[in-house]
Amino acid sequence: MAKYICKRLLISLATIWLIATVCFFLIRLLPGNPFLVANPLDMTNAERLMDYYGLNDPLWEQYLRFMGNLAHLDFGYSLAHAGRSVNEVIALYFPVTAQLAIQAMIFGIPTGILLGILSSYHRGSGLDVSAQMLTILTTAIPAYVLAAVFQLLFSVTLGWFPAGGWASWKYTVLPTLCLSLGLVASYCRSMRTLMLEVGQQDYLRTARAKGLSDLRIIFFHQIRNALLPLLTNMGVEIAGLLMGSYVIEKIFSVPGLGKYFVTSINELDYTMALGLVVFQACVVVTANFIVDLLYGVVDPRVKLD
Amino acid sequence: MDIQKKITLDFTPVDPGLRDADQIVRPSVRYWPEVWKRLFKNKLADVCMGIILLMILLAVFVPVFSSYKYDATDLLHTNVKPCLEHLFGTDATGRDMWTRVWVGARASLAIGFLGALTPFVIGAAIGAISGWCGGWVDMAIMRICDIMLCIPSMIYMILILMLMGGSVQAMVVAMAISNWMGSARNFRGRILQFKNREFTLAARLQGAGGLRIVFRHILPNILGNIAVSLCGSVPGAIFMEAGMSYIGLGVTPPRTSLGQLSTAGIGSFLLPSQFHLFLYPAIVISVMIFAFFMFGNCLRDALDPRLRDEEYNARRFRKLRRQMRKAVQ
Repeated sequence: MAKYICKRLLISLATIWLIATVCFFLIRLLPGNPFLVANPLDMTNAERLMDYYGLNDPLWEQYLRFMGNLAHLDFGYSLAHAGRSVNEVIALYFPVTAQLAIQAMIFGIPTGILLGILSSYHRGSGLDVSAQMLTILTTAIPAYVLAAVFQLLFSVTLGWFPAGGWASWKYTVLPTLCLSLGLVASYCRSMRTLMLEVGQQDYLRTARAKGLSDLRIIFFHQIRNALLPLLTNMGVEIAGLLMGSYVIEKIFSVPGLGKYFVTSINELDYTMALGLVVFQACVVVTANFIVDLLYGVVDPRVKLD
Repeated sequence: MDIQKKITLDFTPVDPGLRDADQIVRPSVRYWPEVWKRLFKNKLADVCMGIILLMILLAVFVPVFSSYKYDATDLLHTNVKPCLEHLFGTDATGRDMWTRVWVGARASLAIGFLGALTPFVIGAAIGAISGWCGGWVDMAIMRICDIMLCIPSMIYMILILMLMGGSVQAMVVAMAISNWMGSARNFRGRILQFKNREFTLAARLQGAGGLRIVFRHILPNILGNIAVSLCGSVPGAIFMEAGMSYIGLGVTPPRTSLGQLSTAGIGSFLLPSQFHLFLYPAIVISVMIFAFFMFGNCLRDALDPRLRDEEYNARRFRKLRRQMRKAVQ
């Protein structure tokens, strides 16, 4: 086990290093001077600023410096907003994005799984049909359209929840709902398929033949085996949530990381964009790492080596 | 007792009339005509195909025959509500929305088709090489895949769109770079599945090369699977473009796309005078995605009828259950 953890840890670190390297050079490919994008400076002042931030040094030197700073988790200072460090921005705004994503997962995944179980058990019933309709609708309608409809319905017409902003729990309801509907749909669908797939296995017939009750069979035999493949998707889902929240954050004007990321790239704010990319890659890689470990724990058939 | 007699006692010979009974069960039908027949029989598939064809025709011909240009402003007729003159109304600078929506649909459809096909072809080629060659080539390609899968795809998309500017070509390139990994993995798995089968071995014994085996012998076996996953990724690509447009990185003005139009509509959709600017593009893009999605589902059902009976056909399942209950009583 320890050997497996070490190996996975090394692979994760290598992945982060690779992502950082690729993104470092990719961002430098973008045309333009970071100090001329937002401000009307003359060339000499822009050059002076380039010198000040060390952007005129050879690229490999900058790369080494960046990697050295990264090694002790220092992402550097923003180029566009003087005196604001990337770490500060992450500390301020990531909790908001994380809260949104975690709330969406806490609501979306169990709801989806439960709905999937119910609709596989009552296959062909009204519940099943409506659950499938929900899946199709949430797949067909873009998230921002859905968000706009929610705003219109719940905040303008009914006035239950505020349409935008970030102050109390009330402000989190609509964004969370929008973010989690996709999760509900995808988990409901895959859970239903998996339950039906597992339902045909021999050991379930044995369980039924033993005379176990339906509930006992579902909870102790069927779900355990159906849940396993869902676990592998978790890492990808987390990445998707982070990305999906950009759109949701914008439409509900939530002060999250998403806005910073997009504007930082538009402003050619190298350090900010790079820092945020690497940070998010770290989050996703960590999630994948944990999922891999969990997978080994939950399914003893998976050999850890 | 002689042996002949003992045999006739233990085993009764089959009635010669029954001997042919299981020879002709039904006329033999080839796989693909059968699939097409099943697909056309499915009403939902017909409807979806109809919608898709109609949208393609509208997207191709409306901008050609429309009396308005999609980017021609008319400041005397701004924010006109939908009427006969302007079927979808006009926007804040008086551009005809009917023309704009179908010009946008062109871009969205192009992104949908090319954005699904390009990464798929690239992934298929890489996956086939990886699966066929095996050894260290396989190892290297799969590790690259793993690593690229770890990087959130939005990051490539944003970087490439910044680099190339927002256009259909840029979106397709961005999708090709960020989405080939899934198809490569899928294709590799399929190749591995068929690589050691007897018919592959037979082809190799006859002297067929790797390319020929992959294309002539393995590809036909996985064509169905390919068609379904391709159909499934078309709506994904359209969706992605819409999302990027929302952040402000999709197809940039003056060119337009459905994602951009519906996004622009969101800014002012609470004003009753401009609600139609949001409504029609949103409806068109939703219907488009819905049609592709459902068509993909129907295609899967047609390719594997067993699956449909097991899972998807609720009505048939209810009927079966009713019959079973009756039988029990």
